Amino acid sequence: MSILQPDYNDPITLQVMWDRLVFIADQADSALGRTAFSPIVRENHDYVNVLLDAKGRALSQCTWSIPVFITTLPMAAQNYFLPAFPESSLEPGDVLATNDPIIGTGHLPDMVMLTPIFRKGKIVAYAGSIAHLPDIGGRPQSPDSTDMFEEGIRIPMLKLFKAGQPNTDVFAVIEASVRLPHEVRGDIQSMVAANEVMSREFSRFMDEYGMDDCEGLGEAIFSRSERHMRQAIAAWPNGSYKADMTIDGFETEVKLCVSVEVGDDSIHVDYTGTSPEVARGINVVPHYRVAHSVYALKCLLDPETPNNEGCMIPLTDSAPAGSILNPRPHAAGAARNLVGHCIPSLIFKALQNVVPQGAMGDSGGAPIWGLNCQGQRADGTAYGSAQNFHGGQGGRWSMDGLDTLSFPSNCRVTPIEMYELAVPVLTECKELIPDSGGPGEFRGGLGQRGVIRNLSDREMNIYLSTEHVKFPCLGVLGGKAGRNGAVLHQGKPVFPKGRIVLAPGERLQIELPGGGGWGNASERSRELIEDDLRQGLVTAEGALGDYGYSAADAAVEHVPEKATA
Amino acid sequence: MKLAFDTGGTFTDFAMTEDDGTILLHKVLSTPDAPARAVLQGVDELLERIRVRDGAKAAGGGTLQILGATTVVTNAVLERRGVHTAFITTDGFQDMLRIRTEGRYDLYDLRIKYPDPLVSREFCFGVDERIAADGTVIKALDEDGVRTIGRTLVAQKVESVAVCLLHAYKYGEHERRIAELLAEVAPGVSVSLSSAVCPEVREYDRASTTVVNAYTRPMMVGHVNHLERELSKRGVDGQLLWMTSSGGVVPSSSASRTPVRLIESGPAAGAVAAADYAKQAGEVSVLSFDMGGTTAKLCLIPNGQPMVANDLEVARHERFRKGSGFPLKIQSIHMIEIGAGGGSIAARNKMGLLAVGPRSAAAAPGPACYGRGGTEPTVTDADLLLGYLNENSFLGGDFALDKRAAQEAMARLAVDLGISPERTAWGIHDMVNESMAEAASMQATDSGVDPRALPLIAFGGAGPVHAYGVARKLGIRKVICPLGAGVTSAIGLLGAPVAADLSTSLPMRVSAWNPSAVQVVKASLADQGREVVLASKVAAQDIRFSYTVDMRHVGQGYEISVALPEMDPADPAFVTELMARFHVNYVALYGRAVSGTDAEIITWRIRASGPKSIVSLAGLRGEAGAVRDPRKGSRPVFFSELGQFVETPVYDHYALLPGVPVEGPAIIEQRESTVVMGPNASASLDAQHNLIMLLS
Repeated sequence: MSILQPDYNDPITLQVMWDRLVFIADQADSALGRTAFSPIVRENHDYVNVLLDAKGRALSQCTWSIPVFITTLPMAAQNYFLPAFPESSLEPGDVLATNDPIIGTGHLPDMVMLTPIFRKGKIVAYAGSIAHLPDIGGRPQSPDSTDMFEEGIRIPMLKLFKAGQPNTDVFAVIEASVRLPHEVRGDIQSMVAANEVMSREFSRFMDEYGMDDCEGLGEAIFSRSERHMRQAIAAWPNGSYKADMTIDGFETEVKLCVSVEVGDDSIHVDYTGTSPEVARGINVVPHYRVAHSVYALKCLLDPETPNNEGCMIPLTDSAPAGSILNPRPHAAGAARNLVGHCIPSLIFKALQNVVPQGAMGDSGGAPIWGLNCQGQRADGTAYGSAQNFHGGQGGRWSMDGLDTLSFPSNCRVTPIEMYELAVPVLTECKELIPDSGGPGEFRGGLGQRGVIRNLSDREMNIYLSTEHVKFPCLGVLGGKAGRNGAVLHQGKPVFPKGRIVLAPGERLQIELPGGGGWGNASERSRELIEDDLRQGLVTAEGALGDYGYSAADAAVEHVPEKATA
Repeated sequence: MKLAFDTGGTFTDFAMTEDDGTILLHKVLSTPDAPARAVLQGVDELLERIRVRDGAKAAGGGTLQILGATTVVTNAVLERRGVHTAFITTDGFQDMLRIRTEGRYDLYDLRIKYPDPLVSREFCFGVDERIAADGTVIKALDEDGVRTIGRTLVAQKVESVAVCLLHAYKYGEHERRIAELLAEVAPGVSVSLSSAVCPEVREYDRASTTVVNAYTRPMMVGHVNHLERELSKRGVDGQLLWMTSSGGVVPSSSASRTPVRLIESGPAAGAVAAADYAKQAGEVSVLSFDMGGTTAKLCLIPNGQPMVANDLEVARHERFRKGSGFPLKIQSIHMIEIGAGGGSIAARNKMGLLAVGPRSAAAAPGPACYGRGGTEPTVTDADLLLGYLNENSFLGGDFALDKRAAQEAMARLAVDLGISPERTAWGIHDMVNESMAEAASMQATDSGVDPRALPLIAFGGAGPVHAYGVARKLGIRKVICPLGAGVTSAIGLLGAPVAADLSTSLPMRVSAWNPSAVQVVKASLADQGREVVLASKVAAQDIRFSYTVDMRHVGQGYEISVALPEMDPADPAFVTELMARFHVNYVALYGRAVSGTDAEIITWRIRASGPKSIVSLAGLRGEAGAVRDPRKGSRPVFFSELGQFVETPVYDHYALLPGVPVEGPAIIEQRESTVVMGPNASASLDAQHNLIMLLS
């Protein structure tokens, strides 16, 4: 069934082969997800699989992806792994890995793995994967470290497997340094297995099509995708579009500044003016920043093309050295998502007048909030597990934002019943907060309120990652801000980040921010307001205050005979 | 006598076995506004056919067992035509249906959308109560609060309510008390309890399942009652049984109580039929390929048994995006549904490449060649232009196709793409085959099976047309195209066993094994299963019970299925054997063992079933008729291996004789479908008159 010399410019052949590359990445995804040991990989899908060409460029990625991983993986390959391990130094069965934040995704729990795929003695591609390991030693994942060394152990770029044989010394060091050695070892082995699946399936694919390399296929995919991206950019007016955003930061607020420089057929994103780095774990390494710049622009320019290296070529970015988006080596960054996740909203804001129909209000799911509960039960056994929460999505043209949505990341949350089986807490409520969505012609999605109580008879340590408590999610195109987040310990507001100690029976309440609105609230249709009122998503006071809507007026206008009711 | 009906979107199909083994097939147009009408019409027409044939000696209805597969439940959800439904949960969790899992099904689309919950927020009620994960009652049930909610339901004319409290998968007492209280204050309201519908851990999935049940239950009850009344008027005093998503049939009482289990009723019947065909053809494991007008279903059938999965999803946004619908925790035959069928529309995408589906021309306007106003080319149009279908023999010639309309539609797309119309038509056909092959390969490798080793069983209107191409892509050597491919699901129903699949969550670590608790859970499941099977008039001594558990290593999130050893749980050998089975299954699925870690059971399952009967299709040959020349003529047909159209012989499946080979390329026509066979393949009928195609 081999087709001799496939014509990559044929619109059918290319589509069929391209679909297959995505499918191969999905097969690797399936292998990783099914064999992984930790809940963060399995339940939350905090991992990706990417197929790269011989130069480390991304050919395809699994369908369910995390934006930052898919972009950092090819950057790690091109900027670090390939220069450090030239072809002559590699052989079949080698597996390369690191968790260095600068090379990978900006924090230590993420393991980056690359397996060369050989064909007739030459490397023709790489199978890549990144997964968030459940523990990496050091402080339990939290924003309050002052440098990287507090946050866990660092594995430099090395051969984790050499010619199929595990590097047992490295495994021993890892297992001796982490709290959950079984899970960590299991997850790493799952990554190795997933890369093997990708290698095997890609080799089979090359057999079928009688290919000796994938240069021609890669060029066809990259050039089409790049051309498409450039055409989409060309449709935007040239110019410098600026925005800034202030967020809580840690002790002191952080200001993010952006100038999106739209050229004829390329875009450069410049973060000059952004706050300096801080001695807390919220600094964002360049790879993590680039990933979010590229992700935000792809959403606006070309959401449909299966992502690959070609889509990224016309997009570049930069940030001043020493800023929180380009920190010095060894800066703390365990919770770099608290700042990094805000980048897409910042870019949307800058472009709100360029692509009003594509812009979206700030999202309360950016960043993810994490409650990492750690402690010991009465019998002395340890427990530890993180629960995630998300605020409301920003309003969109012609559509309200969705309530409680992961964005720009894409993690599910652990079911309450599963969490209560794992950790001695009682979740007393998990409910939407009426009026929390930023008012607008299309309002932001609603945030949520969660209350947990310590059911154990010992103290519980909770490591909190939060944002938008001081500064809310803002709207676009005249849309208003969503409601701020809040953290209350025993009913009293407390510092919302880092460690909180919950005594037995004590309660912690968190309120996730609502998304920002899209467009002027005065333009919102009466039908939508009444539908929100009917469902209780907006209260009567909210409707009056935010939209100037009064039920009495409506009754007089529409149903006069009931006006006295 | 047994009579089976399968209510589908366009046709209601019938298959009937008489006591002497004769099989009758029938088809009538469906009546979506009142599905029972088409069923009764078909029953009347079949009984009339027998009456006319047998004359005065025919004794009316007699003891006739009726088996049904239905789309009533699915369509109520897809078309949102269910009843006015409310949701009651633990206070503080009323928004569970809107909050969902908080993930996104598409990474780059900022405009994603989920179907609105079936219960609007103002009808989601919280009741003051709380049970902890270990069963401790943290807060007693507020009974007055429940009564107040009950009175509100009545005042608001709510017809059905779903109740899902936290941890009720194991501790259902508060739910059951709510049902009692509602029966007092709101006796007309149908109540579905999560602890009864779907007693499994993970609250959102369980609530979603219970809500779909509540939303569809009064309709299903009405449908069942109406049919039973009308059948009894006709003197049919037999029993009415219904196909569930897991491939067994249950009595009307059970179907009315948990209609959510019938959501994949029709496709499950198809998979059961494929398993029957496989057995008759002497095959152990097969891949079933059922392709109709808007979708195709692929199902791996290892060792003669379709695999049963424990969850699925319904009402996906844009129909096929995984993760965009309502999750259902019910047992269902594990299959992949692909948004490509005969009606799928081909178009140029933004990248300038050809794309097929998921948009479908459906029945209206239908493919361009239907001549009903469709202007975009579809898969059926491509198949017609490639010579696979014939304009004059579609549906036995009852339905003439408009070839010119197909040509015009194809030409427009070809110009858009800058390639020839023939290349475009072939591209459409080939691309559909590619997505089928990918899905099949994904399902097979997911289960650790090499798809190349499996014969393909092709049915449904378009299945046999595409089977040859799909088999080539997968490297499959053998394709089976059964007789009666147009009404396969109805035939499958005739042989389906009575079966109740029930489950309950009771997490238990193997290191903390509790034999008496195991006995209790097994006995309770057996009692429930026995009740359902006995209601289907199966003798108590014929009931078989098989127990499986969902197990995992402690700390994991996903479980694998393990059959419980058939020995006393108190026997120490029980646990040893259980762990041995767990390790064997684990390694088979994942390739690598995990040592030194405790394992735990999360969910306990039972299948209580009656005997399975095999329907012999020997009785069907009567339809084939008298001996005549099997060769009907020839027409030009395109084959990619030959790179051109070649004059190809056309055969009549019914007139072929077993064992006489037909060499490819060839076209073999049945009334409701057409088998395409390329060069380098040959075929012949087996003793059951199924066409067996071998690819070289």
